Amino acid sequence: MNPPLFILTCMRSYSSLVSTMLGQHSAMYCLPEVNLFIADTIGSGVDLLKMVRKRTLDGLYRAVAELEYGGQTEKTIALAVQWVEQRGNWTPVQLMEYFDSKVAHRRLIEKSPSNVLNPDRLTQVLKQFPGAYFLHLYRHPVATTSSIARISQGNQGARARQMKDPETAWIASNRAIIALSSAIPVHQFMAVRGEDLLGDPDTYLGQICDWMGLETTPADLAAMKHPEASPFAHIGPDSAPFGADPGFLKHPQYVRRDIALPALDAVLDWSKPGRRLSHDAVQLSYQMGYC
Amino acid sequence: MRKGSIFGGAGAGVKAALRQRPNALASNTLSWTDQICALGNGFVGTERSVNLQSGVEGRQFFRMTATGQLLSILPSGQVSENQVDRLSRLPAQAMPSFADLPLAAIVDPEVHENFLFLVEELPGALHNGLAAIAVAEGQFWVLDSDVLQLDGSEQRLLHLSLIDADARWVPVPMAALGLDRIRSITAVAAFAPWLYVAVCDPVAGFALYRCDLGDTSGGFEPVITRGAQRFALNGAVSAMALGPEGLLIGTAAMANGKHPVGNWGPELLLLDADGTWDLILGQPRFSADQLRFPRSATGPGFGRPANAAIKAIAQSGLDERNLICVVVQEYSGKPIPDRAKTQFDHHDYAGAVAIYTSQDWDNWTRQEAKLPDDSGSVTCVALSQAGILIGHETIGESDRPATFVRF
Repeated sequence: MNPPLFILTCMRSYSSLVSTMLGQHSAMYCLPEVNLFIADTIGSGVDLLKMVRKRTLDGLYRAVAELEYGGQTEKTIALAVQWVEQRGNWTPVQLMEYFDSKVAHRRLIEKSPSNVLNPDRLTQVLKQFPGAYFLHLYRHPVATTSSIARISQGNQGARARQMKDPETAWIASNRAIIALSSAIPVHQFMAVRGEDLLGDPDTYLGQICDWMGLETTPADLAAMKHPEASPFAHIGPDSAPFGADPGFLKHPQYVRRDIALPALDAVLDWSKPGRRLSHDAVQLSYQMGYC
Repeated sequence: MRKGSIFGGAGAGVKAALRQRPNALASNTLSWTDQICALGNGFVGTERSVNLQSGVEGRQFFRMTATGQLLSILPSGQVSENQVDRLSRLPAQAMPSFADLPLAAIVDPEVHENFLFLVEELPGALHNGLAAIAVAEGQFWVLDSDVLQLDGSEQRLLHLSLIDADARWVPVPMAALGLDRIRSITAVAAFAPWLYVAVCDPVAGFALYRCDLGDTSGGFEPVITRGAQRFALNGAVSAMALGPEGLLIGTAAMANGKHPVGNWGPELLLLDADGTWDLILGQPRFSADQLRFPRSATGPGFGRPANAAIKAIAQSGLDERNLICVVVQEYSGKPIPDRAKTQFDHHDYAGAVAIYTSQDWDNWTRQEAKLPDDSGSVTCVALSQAGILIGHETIGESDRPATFVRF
């Protein structure tokens, strides 16, 4: 199969927008969040996700509905659910190969945030796709943690208790990705600040494509600035509405903007009064280009 | 005219060296090679030593064959005209003339290079530690330093001066460099028509500035910023050397000791005369101007993602091989808990040494070398047709502070 692009990211780091923009390049295809790599087989992964949060299966069903049945309707989603159940013994690699066969010459983009929750799984992904490209996409910790906290506030009960502290999540995700980078061949791993990319997409999207050896025409650059053209860039049928950040699905347009970078010692607006980033978060931020 | 010795600054370096190797005190003597230059038929260089009990300092000028055999040592006090410290190499046609300056020169027509030596007493030197000199187009630049006690800790103050052909010292304002407690100058090089000054920044990444060689107004302009877009992973420039293709720049990783995750290895950059630069060896990255892809497929730190620095660089003009040699040394200082309070110090990189050579920038060969036990910080390197001469620190009087590695 064509070497895929895995976007490795902490949640709430522009990954839905950026991956969908890249997927509009004529040589790439962005999947919704399929969360394939949380178990050894598709069946066990589906069982696990049903227990944790059923909605995280939406992306998988929407991808199968689109690529196998030609669109996303209640009917095709139902067919996709059956299709997935019948292939419960497939490995994640087999499913990726299937998706690859359906998008012909285009390279798959996979960006599920679940990929970075378990470092062992990340290592396994690297072994299973030795030729893959890995892009570390990240966002300022003050902004990311604030965004995670806003999402978390909508959760209640057991799910709310399961949520990590946003700052802990930011540190853990990014540290896991950076640690993995040492095991990836040097030319297959790159990192980019989301703020830079969204402030100057012509430069950074073009460079990402160059890095992957893809020619980028003016038409490709123009297309990448219209993520709303993706078949997954909208709220799906009621039975599978998500598969990406809900905010992005409601407003999938890209609007060029310069994103202000908060000070690292700014008070965190989502936590107890006066709380600031921890020492560990600040030190990691220096490494990632924030100061 | 100011008078003083530029050699009084050994104290700060010795203190730093002893932090790394306190057992040196028992051996009485700490010595190190200050600088080496390759000649067509061998090497010349200078060594320094300090008796740790008496504080008496010594200085020697040495010559070696191309295979590392010692030809002569000229101790301090016996051959005052030949007492030398820092050396600079420059093209034969650019040989400057310094009126009344205590300089000695060796001209080697075979290699089309000159070696300019600074002899012991430099009129006008005011401060107590020579950090670097740079020579080009008749201009002679000196970076020296004072050590002050400030808030209970030592603070190094740097002074940059231009010495013109009439031996006048002109202090150069450094306000444009934004120096402070953690931002300090770590390397200086002349690459005509510019003087390049590297400023470390453990938080934001190093910055490289330049000013016109004739400019004494302090009109520095940034050439490379934010650690060449690798941010804090390139905290400092630890070595610069002028080669046929441009100015070679070696970096120091300055890893956070608590969480040294990722590809922390140092990088090698090549600066062109027009101020553009190439990544020779390091981490590929995106940047506002272009995709930076290294010429070598070898990763940062020559494939070893360790907290380390490129301590010395040499490039031979001695034959058609155009060999480049890079010496990498691992961090051996205390863990860095907070980068915002960390000062760069060459002596903190006194750990394991690895030597790499290349003829094409792409393929690098690790040269097996056995340095003396406890050899300390690498200080310089030079190449001959037969091998590599590595200057370093050493403890005791039996070991010499330079080791030859045969190809």
